[in-house]
Amino acid sequence: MTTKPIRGLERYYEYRERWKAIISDMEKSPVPNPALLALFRLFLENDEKTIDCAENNKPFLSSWYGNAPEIYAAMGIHYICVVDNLLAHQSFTDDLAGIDANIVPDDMCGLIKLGAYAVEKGLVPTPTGMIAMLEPCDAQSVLHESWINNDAWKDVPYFALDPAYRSGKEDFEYFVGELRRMIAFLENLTGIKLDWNRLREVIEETNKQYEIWDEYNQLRRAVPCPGGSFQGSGIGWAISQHIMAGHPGATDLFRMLLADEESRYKANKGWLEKENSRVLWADLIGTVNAPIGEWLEKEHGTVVVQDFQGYTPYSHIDTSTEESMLLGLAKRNLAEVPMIRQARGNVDVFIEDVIRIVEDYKIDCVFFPGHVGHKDQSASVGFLREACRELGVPLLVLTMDIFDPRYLPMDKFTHIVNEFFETHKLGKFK
Amino acid sequence: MFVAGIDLGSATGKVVIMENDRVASTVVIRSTASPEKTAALAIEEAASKIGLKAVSDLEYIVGTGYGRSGVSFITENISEITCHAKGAHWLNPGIRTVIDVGGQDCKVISVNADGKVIEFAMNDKCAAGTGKFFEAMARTLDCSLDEFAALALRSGNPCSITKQCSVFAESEVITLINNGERQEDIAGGLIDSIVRRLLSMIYRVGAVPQVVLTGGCARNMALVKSLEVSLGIPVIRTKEDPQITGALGAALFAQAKALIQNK
Repeated sequence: MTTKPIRGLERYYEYRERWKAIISDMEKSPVPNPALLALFRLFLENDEKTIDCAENNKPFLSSWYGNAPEIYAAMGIHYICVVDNLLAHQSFTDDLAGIDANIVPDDMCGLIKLGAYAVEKGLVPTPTGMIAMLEPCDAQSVLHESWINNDAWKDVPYFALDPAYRSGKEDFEYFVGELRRMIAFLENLTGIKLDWNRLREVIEETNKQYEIWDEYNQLRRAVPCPGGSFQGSGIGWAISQHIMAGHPGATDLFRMLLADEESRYKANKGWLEKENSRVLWADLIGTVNAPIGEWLEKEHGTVVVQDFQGYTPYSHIDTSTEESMLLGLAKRNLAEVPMIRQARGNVDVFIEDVIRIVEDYKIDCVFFPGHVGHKDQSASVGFLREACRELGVPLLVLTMDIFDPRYLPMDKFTHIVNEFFETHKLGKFK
Repeated sequence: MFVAGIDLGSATGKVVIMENDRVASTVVIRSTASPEKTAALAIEEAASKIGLKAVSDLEYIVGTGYGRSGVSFITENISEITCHAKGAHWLNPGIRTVIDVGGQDCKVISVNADGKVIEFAMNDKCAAGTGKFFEAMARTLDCSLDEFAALALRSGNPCSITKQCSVFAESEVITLINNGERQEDIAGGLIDSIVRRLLSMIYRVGAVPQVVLTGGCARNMALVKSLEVSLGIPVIRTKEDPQITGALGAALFAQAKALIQNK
């Protein structure tokens, strides 16, 4: 007798086998990169958990960053972000071409299109519950709407966190109420009761992670920058937001990143032999960023020293009481997670972050990718322009989809950046 | 001392020869398949106009534009953004915003009082809103580029054109023709649609007066007038052909470089 395959798991088996093969090859390498090896092992462990949950009817959630994943982690509930694996495995699939035939309008973010496509095509297993957040992203609600209208997902119970508009005390208190409602939803859905002591342990582990990440960021202020473009942002974001929150393996990985950068800093060495310019990438980083970072370094001796995804001024959460933990989580997830931090409320946070990063990290120029999904930020470009002019740093405004390299092809990107650098005597023209 | 600036664009090659801070000769020719050949032909023609024997009589040559790299006799290359800003500022030091609409790309450049670039924006998606678009639309209306501009100027009630992709705009134009719309109003509608597209780029940089329109499309007075209406400010007319602004900037750089070289 053959059993019916579980929807979405076929792809996850592929991911699992690919991670295993990559890890095995890396282990055989004479000089394995320990940080990458640790990262891939965490990804594999996460995918194995997903497969285990789907195969054995264990509860797991579909979630998105900024939803206080520390709470699910403390409850021992596994969670996935639908697009993570699609992004990580994009070079092995034709998913990018697949999104063109999807129902999501063309002018929306590639990530949203991928998310809708993944559920529509059955590339992710159906979760037990869904936690949504009404984020500032222009299309997030469309994504959730498409999921709950999908045949396989239409009966999945969901809870949507409502973020407050600003970042004052009363806004955080309002969001604490939202988190309490989410806990009640999860307890009701899974029958698992939140253990507040376990939440304390999880938060304390994440406190350690963010402290190390902060130290890593401080070192990047050094000239020359001791780390490569987008380096910590990509890894740090993945292991803090998209795998089980408070995983000690993630803390070890943060330590590795820090140690690597610190060794170069102490030896007074930069990531590049000769650093010509330092860039701030004023947005999240997507799938376009790795080749961009490599090209900037190789062609122009330029390092992207900071970006909004890596710039994580996460505050230490006071774990003394239940209320202080929830208040800390409210603040972290509402006012510190990138994008939700810069795009919610008024423009001040966005501009203040740019000013602070330019000054602290001795930035020579600002790249604003004009991501198609971040129309809120594109509407603020006038303020950004004024700020950059006052700071005396050139600003390059692009029009990209940071999750779809076809939107602004690399040859167009390099042409514009070459013109920009030549005009402002930056990069190899310095 | 003669120097030259060459602007090798996708549609045309432009040369400006200067002598002692004066424009001595200018030429605009259609681009060939080879930038080297376009440059050679253009410079030969410009030089012969003032009795020079081409390259050997020129002290310094600065190249700019898409095709600039790899031309053997160019002394130095400078970015087209910098050259357009320099040329526009020399033509009128009060200019703060340069809108350059060329054959295949358009750019908006914010310039300070010294003629230096503060910021710029470029089109990065397709040729809509450039000379190529106008050429395609003129073909659809079965007229020349000059006739197209003249038609648009006579429009009293421009049609609403929603498509800016040349492929889709063409089918929309054909529909309008079949619906019996006046050619003048279709041309006027096309001009307005392109101005709307330009505005999004202009506002990324800011439209600080004085504003000048350069590039081949600046010769299209319907475009100039539509832009003036949309921006609510006058667009400055320059004493030289606006198409040669980039080459002029390159020639001005060539002049400065030659002076340093000869010191």
